Amino acid sequence: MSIFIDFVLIPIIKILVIVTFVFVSVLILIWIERRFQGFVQSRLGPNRVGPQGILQSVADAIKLLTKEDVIPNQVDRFIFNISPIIAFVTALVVFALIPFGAELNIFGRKITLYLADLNIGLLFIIGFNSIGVFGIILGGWAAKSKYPLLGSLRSASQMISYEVALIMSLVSVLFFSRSLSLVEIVKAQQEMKVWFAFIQPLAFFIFFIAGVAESNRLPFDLPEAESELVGGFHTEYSGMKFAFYFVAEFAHVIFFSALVTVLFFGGWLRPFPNVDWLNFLDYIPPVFWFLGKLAFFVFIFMWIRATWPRYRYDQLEMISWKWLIPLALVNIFITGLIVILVK
Amino acid sequence: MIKKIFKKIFLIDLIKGLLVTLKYFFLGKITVQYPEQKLKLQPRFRGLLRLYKDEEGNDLCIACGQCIRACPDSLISIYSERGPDKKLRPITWTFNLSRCMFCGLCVEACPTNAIRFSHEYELAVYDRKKLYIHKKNMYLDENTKKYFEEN
Repeated sequence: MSIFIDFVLIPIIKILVIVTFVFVSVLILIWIERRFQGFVQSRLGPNRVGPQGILQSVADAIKLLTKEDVIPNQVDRFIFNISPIIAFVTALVVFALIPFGAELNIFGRKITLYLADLNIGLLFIIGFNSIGVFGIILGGWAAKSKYPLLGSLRSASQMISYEVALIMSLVSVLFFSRSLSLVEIVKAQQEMKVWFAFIQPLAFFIFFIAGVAESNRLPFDLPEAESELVGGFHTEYSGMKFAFYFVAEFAHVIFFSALVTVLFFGGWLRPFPNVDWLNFLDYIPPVFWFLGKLAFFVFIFMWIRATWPRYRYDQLEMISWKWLIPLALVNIFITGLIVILVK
Repeated sequence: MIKKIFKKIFLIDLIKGLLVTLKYFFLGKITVQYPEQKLKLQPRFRGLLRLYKDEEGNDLCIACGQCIRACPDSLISIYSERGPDKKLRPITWTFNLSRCMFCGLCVEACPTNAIRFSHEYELAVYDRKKLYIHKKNMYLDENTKKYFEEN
């Protein structure tokens, strides 16, 4: 019985909670983003459906669900159908590894606030991220239309160049954490009493930029590029499949914010873990800290989107190959040197 | 030179851009919430065409036909008869709103100011026939809302 509860019931409840969390926050985020962009552009944004327009994305979801699913004649049907699912599933799976907080005690049972704590966690995440890109590449390719193809080609080379920078920036964090498990990384920050963003600001900077590029957000949304590519890889998609891509993009945003929080901003730890007179902050549940930091980074994603224009394609490649990757290499070198010398 | 390098390293220009958007986030919005709020119209606004009467309630229109001649699209048609005082009075006065471009030539041509622009602008209807407007609905009085009623 106890085995049943530990290995079946609790994981299923956790899965349900995480999936609901992702879906609900995606719906809310879409509304917040449109509202925020409206405010920045001196207009109000959607404010008719429900109080302050909060039900706008629910209405949009219903509209997309009931829409006719158009499949153009020339497409490769199997790949065309499966690629939104690839993008969607890979965007959701990685949430299994995000530690939302420390352990909880409910009814005398220890419950961890993460679904899985893999000792290769970070590797798993990076791997699934790379698979998620296939959703975009295959989707654009299977549509057999020139704009989606251009979008997916751009996406392919963009992902190659930014994934290198992303992984390189992580290496210098791993010098300190000495583990690929996300939970261990947070615990390492707890022991060192400092968030990794303060000892690795350059790594954080590179990671964040690469994260924005990985999730296809402005100013790096060249695979979509509404104004030049008519929507890029999802031009030929409509209805539910388009919604899959859309949810996947926003799930990516949430996921990268969560990853930045865990890797560089101490996950569920409270601010200033080394200042004693702030100990009263410990009474606030750790989940709150985690979600607060998450919300902050999601806000920065939106803020960036509302501000900066899209980069040109050669500029995009230049930033990665000429700046981010060399900087990340230098960072690894210097950090490694310091770690060895201090030892 | 040093300033330039400093600017490039710390992304000063990009941060300035972020602050501009943040400033506009808090500034006032210029959107008009249309059905609830409406903009104030200028006195010369060209809304619906309306016929007017004088103080005694007689038609100002003397059926001279200047507006018929002035209208570039021939949208106005008048049938008139002489009254007991031997003066021309319009019996029917029809106007096709569906093709009116609000050029105002009829208003300019009218010698008695019988036809003028009003300030009504919500002119959408479900049926084209409703855009043929007859004399009894042309006045700006208690029949105002009946503008689009058929006959």
